[in-house]
Formats: sequence, structure tokens, C-alpha cells
Amino acid sequence: MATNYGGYAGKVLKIDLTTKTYSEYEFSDKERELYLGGKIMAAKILYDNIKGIIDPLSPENILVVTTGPLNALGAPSSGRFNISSISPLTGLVCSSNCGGTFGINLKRAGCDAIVICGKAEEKTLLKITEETVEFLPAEELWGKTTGATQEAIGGKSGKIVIGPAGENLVKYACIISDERAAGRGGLGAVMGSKNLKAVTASGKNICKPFNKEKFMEINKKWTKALLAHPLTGSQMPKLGTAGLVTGMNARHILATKNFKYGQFDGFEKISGEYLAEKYLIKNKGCISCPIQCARVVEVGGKQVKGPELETLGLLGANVMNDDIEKIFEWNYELDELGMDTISAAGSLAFAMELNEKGIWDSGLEFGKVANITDIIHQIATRSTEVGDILAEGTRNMSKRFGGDEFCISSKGMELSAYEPRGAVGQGLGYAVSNRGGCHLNAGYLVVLEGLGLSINPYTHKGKATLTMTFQDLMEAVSAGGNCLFTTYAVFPGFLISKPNSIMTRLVNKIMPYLGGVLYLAGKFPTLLAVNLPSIFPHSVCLKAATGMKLNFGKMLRIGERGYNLERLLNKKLGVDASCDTLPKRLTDELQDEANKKSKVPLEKMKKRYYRARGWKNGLPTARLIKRLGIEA
Amino acid sequence: MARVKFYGLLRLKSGLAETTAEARTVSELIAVLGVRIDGLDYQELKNSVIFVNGKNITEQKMYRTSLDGDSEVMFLSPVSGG
Ligand code: SF4
Repeated sequence: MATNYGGYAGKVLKIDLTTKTYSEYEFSDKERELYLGGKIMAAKILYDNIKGIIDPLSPENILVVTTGPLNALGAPSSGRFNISSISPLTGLVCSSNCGGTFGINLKRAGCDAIVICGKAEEKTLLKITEETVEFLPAEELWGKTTGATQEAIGGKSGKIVIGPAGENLVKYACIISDERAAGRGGLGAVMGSKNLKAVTASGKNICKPFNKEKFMEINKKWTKALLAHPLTGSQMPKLGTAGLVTGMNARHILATKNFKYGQFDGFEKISGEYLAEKYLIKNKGCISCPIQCARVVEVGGKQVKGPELETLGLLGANVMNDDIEKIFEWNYELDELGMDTISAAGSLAFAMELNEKGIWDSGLEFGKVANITDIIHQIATRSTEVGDILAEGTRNMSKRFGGDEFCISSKGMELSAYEPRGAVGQGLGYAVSNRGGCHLNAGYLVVLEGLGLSINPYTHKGKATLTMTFQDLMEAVSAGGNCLFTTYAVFPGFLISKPNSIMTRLVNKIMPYLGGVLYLAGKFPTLLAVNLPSIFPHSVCLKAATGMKLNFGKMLRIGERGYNLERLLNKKLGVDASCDTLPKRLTDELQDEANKKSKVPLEKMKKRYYRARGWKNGLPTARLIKRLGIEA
Repeated sequence: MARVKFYGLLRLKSGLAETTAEARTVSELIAVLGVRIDGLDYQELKNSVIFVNGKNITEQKMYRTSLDGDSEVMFLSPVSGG
């Protein structure tokens, strides 16, 4: 079924591994208007197909790979695609974004999305082209690492593959495309459970923007603006996400020793500066991105992808390790074995604390690096009892051994590297996030609470509405096909480059009080029916790409629809307000005895957040569902 | 002598991780360093995120925050997210 909108390939394919058949999955233009693409389109497909609680590793689960309308058109930072499913780690909806080239190639193969269901009888490689879908044997690929698998498949097609961790159903196994990971939530295990080792896509289909001239003009200006902005043009390319370690440490938000502390004595040796000075070979990044935030370093004489901030923090400070070369090595191993670095690191840290408290002796100790490489392999292969237990993730470990209060996860997903007692809005986000302990799905308020701007990180004021607004905004940006890092440029450059100016300090002071304004704007979206090309080029770019009547307010509404739709899907999977929690360490223990506000006032913020969202008991009301036009 | 540390782009530009300097306030310190350090100028230092003894100067007396021999001053370039 074709589409009248520009940018899209116009086809969604449903592929049944059980019957080795495929057919077109109906996704109408009306649905494109409502759900745009990427993770929101995936949420709609999942919502329509998942009826209630399922075993995520059973054939009943479906894996949905989606692109956004901007993918493959050449807009800045628009090479990223999305994979969604029901997560084996959380049992809930999980979307994971990836910077590899599979998405672009999927559109070249004429598809906006694929819906993979059932379970193959034999180990399978799916080959998608414009003409056909082939179900090929993958026995010889089984057991190979993600790099070796891609090499063995060869050719120029886009690929998504799993490693041994996905095959062995590690609860946080990831999916790899090129060197980039759809890291979170164990979607690699979903592929493994379906006997699906890899999917390739290739073709010559060309998606065209609705208004090519306008589209090119916008992109030219947008690229220029990204390169001129202090964050996206300077900080990110020069230091990558690793450049955050120092600032996080200074602001007490660098998760340290399984989130017991927010500062690490050895932070300098795991910092972006140290990496840049001693190890950086070159920058790298996703296709069509002027920012190029990824790092290339050397491991064992081979040039490989360097660690992101999350990995540096969680395999550094959080396990009390200041040996950055070890982090490079583990990061590489985890990618090759196909495991999420965040959840793997969180599980290691939890095991270390269990050991320190005399609860479970896994051999893992804070600050001891000698056995980690071995244990990582044991997790991926589940070859020892220790590896097998760690492969289940922290929530399952705490069910077995106890230690709930320091089991640092939300809805079963291990938290990212930001210690939320030093940025309480980030804490709210972690708790209410649909996906679980993810900094991005949380709304990423830490960027306002110290990293980019400096609004009071300890006050609960304004955090609920700001969290909601940023969640919705990022949801929509991701659905369009852009990298979320493009949203940093929404902060006027002077707020970043002049952090001590009167204007910046004023904005920092006022921001928490903007809650009421944002609340009203949410209620009356026509107030935001404007285009703001200089601070939010996403909507004008998408408008030129698709021909849809988009503006800032409509984008925000699409994001809100997506967030609520994911919540409704989670409702089917058993979620309500009681699931929006954090471990007691973060809500009840002070990070700093001298600072009585250094814990997350979760209940207070949650109440305000639900009110702002129009939720009752953590769930969208019938009225809200109707207002958002969701067919539930 | 206050102990001064540079981070982020400031460190990459100056090639300097740390130094010491004599100054009574942050403002004086910036004036001293702006002249002394190749690759960093007064404006750049003034527009950095500045921590004195672990606390942002925006929560202290801004550029009038006083320094003594035991002070540790961090100059950071603005950061974003990851
Ligand atoms: S900013 Fe980084 S993650 Fe985002 S598209 Fe560019 S290279 Fe990829």
C-alpha cells in the first residue's frame, strides 16, 4: 500500500518465521499522521498485536523494526532507526534506537518497517530486498560474535545481528548494526528466542521528500546551525559523550559504587579529556550526521568503537575502576558478544555489592578488574552458575538474593550512569519511564539540572511538567528519524556558552516555575501551533519531507500520543502507578548527609507528574485517550 | 597559591591540565590566567563553568568568590548529554 506522504517508502512488511511467509501489514496514511514513524509507529503496531501479558521469549512476541520519514533523505543526524518489542528484561514495551545503516537500507528495500513474528524452526538469516524476503539457513553463523557474523554475511546490505548473548537469551542481549547497538531491554534475546541470527536489507528504492527544494534549504541551514552551536558543533565532536564525566562528577551525579555516591576519586582517568588526550584515534558517527560524536580507540592493536559516557561511568566509577583501557576492552567485548553495556555493568555492580555485604559470593569485588573479562564471557554463554545468574539482570538477582533497596533498576531495567539524588527530576523520569531505567525515555532532565543548564537540581518544583514536556518532545523527534542529540541545539547558544551571565542565571531561576505555562500549553495546543525553525527545525524539516501540516505544537502532540500509547500497552502488561518506583537507596537515603535535599522526593513529584499528564493511578484516562485520538 | 584545574575543551585548547596561581578572587584569577596561558583568553575563562572548592560560583559570590591558598578551582567548558 503506497502513501501520499513524502519521505516514506510506503510499505510495512509482516514476516512470519513459523510459516516462512510474508505479507504487507496495513499501515494507513491516517496512522502515519497520528504516529509518524520510529518508536511511535512501533508502539502502535505492538499495541494492536499484543493482547496481554506474554512471555517475551515466546513466539507470541513480535519484533518491530521501524524507520522515520527522515531516514534516508539526508537530513542532519537522521540515520538512526528503531527496534521495539516486549522486553525480556522488564516484560514491558521496549524501544531501542540504533545508529547503524540497517534503517536506511530497509527503506532502500522499499520498507518503512518490518514486523517479525513467530519462531523459525531452524537458525535463520532473513534477507530482505525490494523483490522478496528469503529465509536462509544460519547454522554456520550461530555462535559467532556480532563482528564475525556481519563479516561472514558480507556485502553492502544493511544488517542487524545478534551475538552469543542473544542466542543464549541473556536478558539484556542487544542487537548490533555495523558497530552501533540497539542496546537496551534485551531485544537481542527476542531475536535469539526466534532462532533469528540476522536480518539484512538492501535495494535501490529512493524515498523522496515532498518538497525537495524547501527540504534542501532547511537542511543546509540546520546543518550550519548544528555546527555553530557550542554543544553540537564543538563539545560533542571534540569530546563525545565521554566529555560529560567531569561535569557529572563535579555536580555529584556520576554514579559511583553501585549508586552509593555521586562522585568518584578516580574520575579524571575515565574522563573524556583523558580519552581525547591519550587514546583518541579519530571521531566517527552515524551516517548523515555533522556532529560525529562517536570515538575510535585501539584495543589489542585493532581500531574499535570507543565507550560512550554511560559505559565509562558504569564500568568505571560504578564498579570503582579507574583503568580506562579495561573499559575499552570490556566495551568491545560486550559489543562483540552482543550485550547492553549499561545493564551488564549494572548487574556487575549489584553483584559486587551483594558480595561486599556477604550475601552472595560471585568473586566480583568493587575495584577488582582481573576477573571481569572472564565473567562477561560467562554471562554471554551462561557457561557457569555466576554467569547464568548475572545474565538474568538485577531484578531477578534481587528476587533470588534480596537487596531490593540497592538493586539499581526501574521496572527491571538497570539505570543509566546519572545518580539521580544529584538531579531529582532525572529521578522522577527514571521512575515513570515506560521503558524503565533509561535516561532518555525518562525525559533527560539532567541536561537542565546541571549538564547543559543549571536549574536547581534538588527542587521538586517544575520537574513534573518539564519531564513530561521533554519526554514528549524527544519521543516525537525520535519518531521523525532524528538523533536526540539534535535537540540540544534547542537551547539558545548563549545559555550554554555564557553559563554565568545574568540572562542564563535568570533562565535557570525561572525554568522551574514554567511548569504552569507548560501545563496550559499542553491543554491548549493551538498556543503552540507555530514553527520555530531556529530553535526547533525538526517540525519544519518533517513538514517539507512529508507534506504533513506539522508545527511545534503538533509534534509535541504526536510525542504525547506516543508516550501515552506506550503506557496503554504497558497497562495491558500489568503496569500501574505502583510500578513507577526507584530503589530505596535513591528515595530514602541521603547522598550527602549535609544536604537534606539530596534524595529523590519521588511521591511528591509523581503526583504532580500524573496530574500534568492527566493520568489516574499512573494510567491515561478515557478522556485523555479520546483527546489524543488513540484508537484503544 | 590556589590550585587550578582545566577540563573539557579548555584543557584540549591549552594543553594544560592544572596550574597554580596567586589571586584573592575568581575575577583576579581569570585576569591572571587569561594573560598567562596560551590558547585561553579572558572571555573564555569568564564564560566557563567555574567551581571553587566543589561548588559552582553561581551558588557563591560569582566572580567575587574569594580564594585562599587552599582553594581548588575547576574551569569546565559547558557540556551536554549522552
Ligand atoms: S550525534 Fe552521535 S549518535 Fe547522534 S547521529 Fe550523530 S554520530 Fe550518531
